[in-house]
Amino acid sequence: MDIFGILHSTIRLASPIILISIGGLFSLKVDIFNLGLEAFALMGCFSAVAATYLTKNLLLGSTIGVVVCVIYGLIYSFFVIKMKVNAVICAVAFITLTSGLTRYLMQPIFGTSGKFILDRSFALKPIDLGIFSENNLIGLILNNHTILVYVSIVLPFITHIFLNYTKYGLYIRSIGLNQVAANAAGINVDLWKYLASMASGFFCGLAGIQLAMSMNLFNVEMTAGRGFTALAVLIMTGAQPIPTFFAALLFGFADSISNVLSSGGYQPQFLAMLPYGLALMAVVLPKVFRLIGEKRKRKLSFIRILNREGGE
Amino acid sequence: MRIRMKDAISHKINIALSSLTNPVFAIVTAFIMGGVIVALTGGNPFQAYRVLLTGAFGSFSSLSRTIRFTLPIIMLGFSFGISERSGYFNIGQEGQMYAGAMAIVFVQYIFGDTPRIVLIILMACAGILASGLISYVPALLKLKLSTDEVIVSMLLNYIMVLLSKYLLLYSPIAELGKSTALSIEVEPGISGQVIFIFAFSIIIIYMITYKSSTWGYQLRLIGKNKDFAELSGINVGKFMLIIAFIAGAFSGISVFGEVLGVYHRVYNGFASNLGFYGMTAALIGGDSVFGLIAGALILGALQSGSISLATMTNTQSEIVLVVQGFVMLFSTIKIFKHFSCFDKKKELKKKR
Amino acid sequence: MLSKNVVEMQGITKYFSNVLANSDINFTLIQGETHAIIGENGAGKSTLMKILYGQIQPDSGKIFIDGEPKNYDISQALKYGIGMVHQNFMHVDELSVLENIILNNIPDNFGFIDFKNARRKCQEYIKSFGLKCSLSSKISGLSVGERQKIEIIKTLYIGARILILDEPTAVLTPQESKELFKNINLLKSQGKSIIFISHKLREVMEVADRITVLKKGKVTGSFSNGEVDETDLARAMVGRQDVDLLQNSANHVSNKTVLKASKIWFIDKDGIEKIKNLNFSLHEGEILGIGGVEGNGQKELQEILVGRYSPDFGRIELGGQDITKFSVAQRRSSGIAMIPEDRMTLGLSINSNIQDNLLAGRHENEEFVKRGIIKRKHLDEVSKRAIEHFDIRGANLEDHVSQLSGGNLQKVILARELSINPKVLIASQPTRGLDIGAINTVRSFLLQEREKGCGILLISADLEELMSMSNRILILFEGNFSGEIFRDQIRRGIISEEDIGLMMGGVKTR
Repeated sequence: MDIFGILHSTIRLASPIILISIGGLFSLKVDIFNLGLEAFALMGCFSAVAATYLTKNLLLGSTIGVVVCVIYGLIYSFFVIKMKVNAVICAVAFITLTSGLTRYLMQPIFGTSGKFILDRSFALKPIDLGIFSENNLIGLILNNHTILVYVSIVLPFITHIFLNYTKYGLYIRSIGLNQVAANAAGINVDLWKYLASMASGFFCGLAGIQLAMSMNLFNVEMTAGRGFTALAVLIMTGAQPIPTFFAALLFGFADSISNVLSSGGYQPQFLAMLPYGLALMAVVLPKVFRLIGEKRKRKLSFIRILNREGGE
Repeated sequence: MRIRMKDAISHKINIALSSLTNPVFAIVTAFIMGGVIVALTGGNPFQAYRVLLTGAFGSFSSLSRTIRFTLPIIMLGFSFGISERSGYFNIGQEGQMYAGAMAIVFVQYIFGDTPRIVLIILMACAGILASGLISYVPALLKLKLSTDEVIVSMLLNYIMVLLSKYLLLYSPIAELGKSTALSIEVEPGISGQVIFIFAFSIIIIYMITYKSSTWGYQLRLIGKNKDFAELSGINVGKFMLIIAFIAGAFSGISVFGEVLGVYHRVYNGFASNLGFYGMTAALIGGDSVFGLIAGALILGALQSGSISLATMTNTQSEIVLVVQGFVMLFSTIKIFKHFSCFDKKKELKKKR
Repeated sequence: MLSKNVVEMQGITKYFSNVLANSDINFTLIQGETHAIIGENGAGKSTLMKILYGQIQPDSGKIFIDGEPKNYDISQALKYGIGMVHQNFMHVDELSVLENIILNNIPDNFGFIDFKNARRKCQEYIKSFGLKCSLSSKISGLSVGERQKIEIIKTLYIGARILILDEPTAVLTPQESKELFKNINLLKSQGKSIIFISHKLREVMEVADRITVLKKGKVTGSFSNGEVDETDLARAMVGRQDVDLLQNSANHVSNKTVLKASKIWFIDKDGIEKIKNLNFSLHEGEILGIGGVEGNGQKELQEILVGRYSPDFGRIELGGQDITKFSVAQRRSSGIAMIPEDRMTLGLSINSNIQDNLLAGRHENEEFVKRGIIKRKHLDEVSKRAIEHFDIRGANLEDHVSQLSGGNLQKVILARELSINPKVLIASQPTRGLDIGAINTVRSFLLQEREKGCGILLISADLEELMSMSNRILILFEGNFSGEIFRDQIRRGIISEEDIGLMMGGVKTR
């Protein structure tokens, strides 16, 4: 068992989850519960591959892919904000739609269905950062990743700074926490909701590029539930950027280990279930604590009264 | 007095129109969008829809195939619809189905030797209980802890899928090495006709109960105004828990039909996407059960007809998924409300 | 000494649907004064101030700021220096104190928040208000009194010189109220002008320079402090109007107790005592009025009596039987009926038809349900009879009740609640928003029930209604009864309206 190999692929596998999670984070921060991250990421994969194939240029294709995803985010928020469609239903609709669209469009665009492999020359290649010398242990883990992986490592920290130290970050946070108060403070709530949704699309698009182009192929349903994993991550961490980073690494690690284990003949399903179980607890436990807290508050008041009135 | 009459009639027309306009608008728009995409990719939308139609309804065998696709969607539609009626968002159908399937498989493992009728009844009970239970959990958590039922249901969905995959692969009842990957054969089969009669009777019971019984009344009241229902003496919390269980039971019924009536086996991924079709049918139907059945029929027809699409045209069958997605998307836009906003302004001016 | 009118409102009129909220109101605010606006619920105080703040536009009238006429919305109001401290604070709980204060006007360097600058400014305000909290702590951790100070600081931060405080002491303890008055005087000394909405007469006398009294949308008095005493204010606030309305002429009330509440305590989820050691008895054939300004525990009392809330302590008896642990359904079948104050959201299912609304509460009764199935025909007949008997106009059997007018909606509720021949009827603000004809109809039905021996709890903020309908009145103030008045005492002039007004303001305690 090659520890460093596992850690290296941990980062590689965690990267798309980090990107999708940050995308979902922006959406959550403005109180749009986007269940459809899966769809956004899948569309990102597909449009990146399709655009690269058609333009024969990785950079251009990737840019188009991201733009498509941003538009996707805009359309989603339009339906939710303006047409007042229920966010969950809209998300499920987007998931079904994207699943169907990507499958359907494979034949007309690529000429095959199910799976399409691009020429190797278009792949997103890993970069050798000269900083790490050959035998450096950290280098073994952190070297030779694609550019988007490196982006995804720094992104959570940049997001944290943006949200907590900039004016617009404060706008976004206040909208999600108390829309009425934000409105009363003169913030243009709708505008920022649209912008946050577009940011969602942007990051999911990046995730799609990383997923698809690092392997230079497109496979139907290649996002394989990563959109929901990202949601589980966000639930676990309460949509905080830096804990999200570590939680995503955890998932990446689980992914990596289960690859190793299954090829060694072990059972990956339980390991795969663990994160969802954790997420479930992350949803339930805070509420339990709050309930206990409220009961204590009332009890304390009660005792205060009893002491004051001298026993009844 | 005359003005009042006009108001009353126009209000009635308002209600009727809006309940019809929404689904019709959704379906028509969805089909148009699908047609546009077909045309843009070099296909012939009219030919495609014609093939779909004949593929779904053209012959007796295709009609029965359509019905066979429609029945589980109706059950799943009830599952979503009955919960939604009481203000509870139940999208855990997929998890409920897998739970029911696993229960059925386990019953076979433990009681495999009992006589056929008993075995079938046991399987039905186990399936319904298991899926009801899985549906009950998010509702209980919502009632006691105010957690969000959507998140809990979706997480449970994933856990159930993985759990069933594990069971299919590694548990003592797994059938490894067989020709059909990741599946377990289920012995007693039920003919399609029996399933149909069974489903039909359930639909009738549902409709009568919803419209004319006191429970249906209470359900509607809770959905329309929860506080008022409470003040009228209805124990809303308990009611919603029971409804959640029943909703899960509906999912269990659909699994029962699928496993025993159609596939005669439980295999990996047999329920993927099916859960959301139920939701779509319920959304199309809105307040009416007939609408739900019609919606389920359309979705079932799409599924059934898509098989011939691939063989007969150069349009792939996946376009059906696209159309379904659009239907879902448009079916909750209250298009009539957007237009009737103009009427409301006129009314206000009249009152002054 | 030149006193400048910093605000002048002339002829302000505002309609909400067909209710006249403000009627030709003139109001001025002098530079550097504290001006209190008092009145009962529905007098129009909040509406007037929302107009001043730019939240609502008046139907007619002019507003002058510093002598210049202006039409404006909230963001412009902020620029003119008008700030409002709402009763429910505009706070983002999860954010820090600092972030909440600067939200209206965030100082930044190329997008990055200038925390140092903001902190410095806010620290000064924090100190001058005597707050001991840290700017970086979450605002949700502060007490209500502290949060109100933050709310005031918010207005100062954007440079407000005219502050509107809406019922500020409603959420404060007596000690915190004293601190608030100190701060108000401090702000005055800094040249700010303050408007103070309240219904608490004693406080108003303590802190205001001038007092304007509103009643039913009109100004009934404008005084300088020192010209008047509490009695004058109470008279201006509640003075009687002569209208042709039904009255309760019954003198004789049975001795039998039909409902008894003993030592009721209720603490809400924030730990605030909403009902404190409440005791009362309701007799057969008695109309017991519960008066007082809204927010003094009426809502909690209703919910406890009807069974939705559970009291933290205490006992409720119906005809001698302990019903404290009874569910809503059990209480209904024991004979407790209720007409809630919120007709459209609590009293009816607005999107259902008349039959469904009449059936509610009786949907398990044998009369209407056989073997689980609703007897449609019988229900339709009963509904038709109810429409006739209660004269519900404009009602068709299949229509949603949303089509009906306020008075007719109330009649549907009456038809339903009175059909069970209740032993106890809780009627909350039953004639609010109704025209004279509908008011009399409601009153006549209440009086009929009284004749039948039903005990009626009439909860109302309308003192005139209480005085003409009740055999006895209890005034609710801060979770307890501040006074009890018998019909006789009113008739013989022993207790006057002003006295009752004082009790509502928490002044007299008997």
